[in-house]
Amino acid sequence: MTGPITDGAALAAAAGFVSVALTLLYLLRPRRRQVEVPYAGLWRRVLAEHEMRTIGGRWRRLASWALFLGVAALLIGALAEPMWRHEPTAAERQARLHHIVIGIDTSASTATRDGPPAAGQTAPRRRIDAACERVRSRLEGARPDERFLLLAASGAARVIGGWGTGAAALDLLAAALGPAADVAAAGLNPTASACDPARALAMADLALTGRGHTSVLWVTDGGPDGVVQTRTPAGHPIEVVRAGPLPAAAPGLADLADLAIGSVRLRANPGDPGRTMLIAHVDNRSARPHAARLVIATSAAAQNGDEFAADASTRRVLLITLPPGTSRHEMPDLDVSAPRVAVRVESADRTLVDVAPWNDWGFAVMAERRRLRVLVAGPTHALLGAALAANPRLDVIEAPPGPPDAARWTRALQGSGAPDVVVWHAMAVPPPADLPALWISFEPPADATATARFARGPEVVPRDAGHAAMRGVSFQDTNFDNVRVLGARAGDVVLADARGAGPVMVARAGPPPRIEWGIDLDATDLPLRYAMPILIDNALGWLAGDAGGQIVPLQPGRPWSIAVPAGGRGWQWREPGRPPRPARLAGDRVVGSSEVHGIHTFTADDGRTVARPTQLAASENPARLAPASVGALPVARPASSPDAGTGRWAWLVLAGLGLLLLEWPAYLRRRTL
Amino acid sequence: MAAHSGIRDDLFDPAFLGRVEQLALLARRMATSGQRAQRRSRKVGSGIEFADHRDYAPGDDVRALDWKLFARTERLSLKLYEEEEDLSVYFLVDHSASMGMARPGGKTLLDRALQVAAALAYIALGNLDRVAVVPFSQTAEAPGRALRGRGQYFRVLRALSQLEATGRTAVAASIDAFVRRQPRRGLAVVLSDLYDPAGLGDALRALHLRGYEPMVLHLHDLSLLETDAYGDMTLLDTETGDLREVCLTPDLLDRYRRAFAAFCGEIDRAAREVGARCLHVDLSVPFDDVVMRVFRLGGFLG
Repeated sequence: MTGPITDGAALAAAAGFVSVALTLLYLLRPRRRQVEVPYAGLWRRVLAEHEMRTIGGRWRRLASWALFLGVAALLIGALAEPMWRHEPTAAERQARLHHIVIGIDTSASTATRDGPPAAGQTAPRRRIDAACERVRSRLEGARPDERFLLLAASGAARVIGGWGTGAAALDLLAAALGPAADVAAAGLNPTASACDPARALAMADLALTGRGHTSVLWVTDGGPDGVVQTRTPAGHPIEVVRAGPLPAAAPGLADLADLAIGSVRLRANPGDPGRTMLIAHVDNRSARPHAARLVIATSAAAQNGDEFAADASTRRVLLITLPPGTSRHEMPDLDVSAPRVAVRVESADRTLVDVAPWNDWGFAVMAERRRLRVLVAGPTHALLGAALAANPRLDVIEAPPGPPDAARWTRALQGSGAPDVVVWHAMAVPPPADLPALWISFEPPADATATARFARGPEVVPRDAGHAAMRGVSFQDTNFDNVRVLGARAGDVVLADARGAGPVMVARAGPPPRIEWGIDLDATDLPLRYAMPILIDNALGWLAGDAGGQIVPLQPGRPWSIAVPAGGRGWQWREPGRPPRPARLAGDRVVGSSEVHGIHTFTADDGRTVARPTQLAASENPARLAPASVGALPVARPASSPDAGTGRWAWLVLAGLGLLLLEWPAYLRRRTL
Repeated sequence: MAAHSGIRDDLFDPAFLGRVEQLALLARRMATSGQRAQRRSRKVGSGIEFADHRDYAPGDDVRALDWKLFARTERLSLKLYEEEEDLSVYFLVDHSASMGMARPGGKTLLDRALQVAAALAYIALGNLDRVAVVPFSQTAEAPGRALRGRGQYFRVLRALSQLEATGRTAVAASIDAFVRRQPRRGLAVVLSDLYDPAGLGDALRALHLRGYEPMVLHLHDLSLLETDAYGDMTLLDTETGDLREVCLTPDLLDRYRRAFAAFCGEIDRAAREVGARCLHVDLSVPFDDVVMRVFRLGGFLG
């Protein structure tokens, strides 16, 4: 028999059959042994006294029959594995329950396929599948007094469901793993973020607050950010179960390796916003070099790998050899007319088994270059005007000649507000104190801070080539007949100086920010050089607060805030592969967090769009071994308390056997020889 | 001794008779060495040895009045003298069905009673006592003619050999019937298992009041108490045929042992009331040992 008999009719039939059989056996009394005695009088006397003393002696046979019927009833009843009907109060039930939060690591590394193959399969399983299998086996062995809450833990912590019995948790687990499961909202699929155990444990503490017999079961692939403590911050015990990774030295897994995109950066070509340099860091997490392809795709609208694969305006392939470790690869002069870029690394070595395809993609976007309203004040300079006019994102407004006059400037600006930047050229007075300004002045202005030192025919060299205002700039073969040496105060950045004389280009952080050139545009061939528009673009961009073409990527799973153009309304956030939804706005920034790898876009009603790529956390390294070996998930302890839900039938069987043992001596007395 | 017709050879075979002869010699030696028990006739009458006084009653022989005592006490009293006469020994042998119940080994209590009675009779005949066999079960049969002298021994054996186990045990009724026939007073040796619901007290009192000297040989078989076959069984009373269902357990058997001991105690008490000698004899005890115990009990060797 493999299970309880739940059919009442079958039980009743069995009980009836056994009862009738027992009754017949008692009715068909066996012939007794006859013993001849010389004098029954003594026996009669003894028996009269004995039966008077024996309680129920006269009814012993009837009692024996009833006892056997009782034993049979117990044994037959045990076949149905009955449960006690004791209904504890709500408080008793609550106090008796064991509350277990099962935290399942769904960080990016759990998508790695290096787990043991499922039954009947040869392909390695994902770590998340192995973890869920372990959780499933734990839930299948759950006791009736255990309640579970399933928690998906990656960068954020999400409650999958709870508090429910093991069976209910199994249903939740199946639903979360099903094809219809919402990947990021409720499912147990791996995310793109790193695991944040602190947030998960804090949520577990919150869920366990006020409950008795609490514990946390933490199922993780044991990455470097895995839980190592034994208790949550609130003191609940933690039991850690490893679900990977497998040791690299395991048989058949010697070539287990991973090629991954570490980071992707775009560096705009100075003076040519339509072209850029792509810099990719590629990780070869194996013990030997591998031939690989670096596929670079650009798109105007794609947000993730699938979309880039389907819609790529430009696609280029680099054949590279990846040494073990991290290597840097550059692709200069990349056409980024479509501003979104995706890079994928593919193995060209058939012997390499990439266990983590989830980290093969990297994304980048060109920095938004907002339009700038530039107010140009000072005598007209044709070459300066040409440099400004060549920059397509500048709205140049010529200030009326003459000394600064607010009323006239307001009319010039046509009441549209203050300009973003002021180009202050050869003015005798300092630029306005409340506006960012590019101050080009060879003549010392009427300013107490201005210096009157000059250098003739100096060699001007960039001092801080990494500064945004100097990126891509070279003064080689540029002649300066005369420059004014500027004074540099604390906090100022010397962008360029005249060799042996002093600074001639200085950036002051402000506020407001200001870049000062001590250059006479008529005494140098700089305006004719290629560097001039770059210098102008760099300077105006820096003064306007642009990032200078460098966009810091977002990290999945971590909260972020992104500056968006002022004045935009109705911002919509679109995660890769998902429909747009309203973005949360805090001032001029949108805030949020996502666990999806790709390019996130924020679009205002007026069509202005801000795009930000994500970059996988360096901690999500699938080839890194766990500090502990793969552990076995503990199964539920067998029921030990008498009120446990399982094994009641066994107690009934024992009770029946006990009664049978009690009856055995009586049977021996009745036996006939 | 040669075989005689009508005598059970299985009981009274030459070996038995030889052993009886040895017992007789032993009895004679005990009598001459002063170890014999003092046994006198309880009958008072015309003897020469003063026995006792008793009050005068009208009709008594006035010659027996003790005038000296009258002078001292002014009461008329008769002088009693022990009357010397031959001692009569009656063997009241119970031959009820319970005595004939077969025991392990094929022996019965009746066989043992017959052997003991035969041995004691031989000794009594050798002592020139009168011997009579009185069989009884539900009632006592008429005693045979009292026999005297060893020459009558085979008649005694023949009388014993004719007894068959039958009927119920009625000791009191049988002895009452025995004393109503008013045979000569003497020693009445009762050999029985004494399984009489009426008890033994009345019977012994009747013997005592009629001037008999009772001696009780209680024969029993303790092997019935040493069984290990427990369980449900039906007890069949050999004499009455009554059936009694019982579940024999060690505890119940122990209770039966105690009841049997109490039964023996009742017999002893009844015997003590009348000054009778009583001996409990198990079937496992050989007959010659029984005879020796009778000797040691006293009252038989005259």
